[in-house]
Amino acid sequence: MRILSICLLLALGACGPTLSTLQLPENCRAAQSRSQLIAGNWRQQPHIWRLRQAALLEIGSKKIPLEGFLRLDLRHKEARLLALNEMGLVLFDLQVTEQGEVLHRAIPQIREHKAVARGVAQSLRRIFLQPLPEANDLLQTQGNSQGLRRSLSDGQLEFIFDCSGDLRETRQQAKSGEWQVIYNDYRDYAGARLPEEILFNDETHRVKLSLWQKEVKQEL
Amino acid sequence: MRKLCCLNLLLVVLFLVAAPLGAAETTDLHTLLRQLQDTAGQTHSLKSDFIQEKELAIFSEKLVSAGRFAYQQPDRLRWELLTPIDSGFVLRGDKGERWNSLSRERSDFSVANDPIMGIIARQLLAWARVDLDWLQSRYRMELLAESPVRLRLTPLDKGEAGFIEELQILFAGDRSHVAEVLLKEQGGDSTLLRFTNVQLNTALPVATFEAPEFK
Repeated sequence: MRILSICLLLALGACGPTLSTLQLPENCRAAQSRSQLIAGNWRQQPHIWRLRQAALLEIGSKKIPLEGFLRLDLRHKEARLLALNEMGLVLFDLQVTEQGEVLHRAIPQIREHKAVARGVAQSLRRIFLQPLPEANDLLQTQGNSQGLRRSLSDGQLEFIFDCSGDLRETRQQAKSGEWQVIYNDYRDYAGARLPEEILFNDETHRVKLSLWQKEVKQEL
Repeated sequence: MRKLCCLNLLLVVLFLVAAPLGAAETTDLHTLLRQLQDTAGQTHSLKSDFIQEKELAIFSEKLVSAGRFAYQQPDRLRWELLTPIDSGFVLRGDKGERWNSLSRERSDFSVANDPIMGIIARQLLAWARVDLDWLQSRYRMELLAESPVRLRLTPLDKGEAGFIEELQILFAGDRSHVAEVLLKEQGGDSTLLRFTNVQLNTALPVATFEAPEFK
């Protein structure tokens, strides 16, 4: 019933979250080359991460807190999320690739309402897997930040990096959909830098997913 | 319902007659369960810490969480996870409230309209007060060990059996309370709950069974 309400909210287009404002360090100058930005982007490095996360999924005005364990295989462009409730019971097991997703198991309420799994899958795909910066993207430097821009057939895609070269935002503004991902609070883990806080916001579908890394391990 | 309970009790007795009990086969499970229930009947309140160890089979990963648990006769519960996310629920009879520090929200639920929370809450209550009638209506029971007592519970309900393979309940040496619960899920995952710093029959403030305020 609760999930049904969520779907109704989604269908009715209830008031949803609005795009967040990116906060960047100011007393520095961004000056990396396009290839450096791409090579230094953690999403484009072939690591496998095991991430324990706290997550807050918002659909319209409805908030769904979750605990998740995510195996993120950037080598094979695949993410697998197990979402748990406060008793440790698995709510769903979702595998996401660049092209699709497989719901391996789920409690009946999730399995019956596929929009929830689909929304989470799309969020994970955009946060972790695609789109990625490419060598043909247009580099623009503005003081303390740099952007890689790409024209789409119906709009624009942009990746924003801070003066450390960390990817801080991916933003699409197009007729096919408006969404953004903000990556905050980078920390060093096993020689790579990962954001501790990730905020995904899909304006078109009124979906917001906030993730906080609680434990980070690299799979060797 | 009474017929169902009787039928389940009969099945349990038949099972006990038919199935070997290994090391504990000389024990009369029915008598033991009644003893456990009598002991639990002397428990008016209980509070403890707990460690929750979640084993994820497909990843060979163990997720450890910690929290607090409280129970007061006849039907009040508090289950509070402190790490990694402050979250939990309180139950008062068939109704309860959940909270989560991420959403900073409290929400009402009832055992009737939230099946998952219903199963969780009823199980916690059943373990806390050793509610044999309920347990026997829901599970086939086996005695795995006598000292300390360890029981295996297999769901009879097809819906519950769809995601819970079995539960193992370990009682404290003096049988005054449940010390561990092992929940094995279909698919190979499991959750082990270890209750520590258990205090019986202490006065619990009213606020124990209320959800926290978020300002």
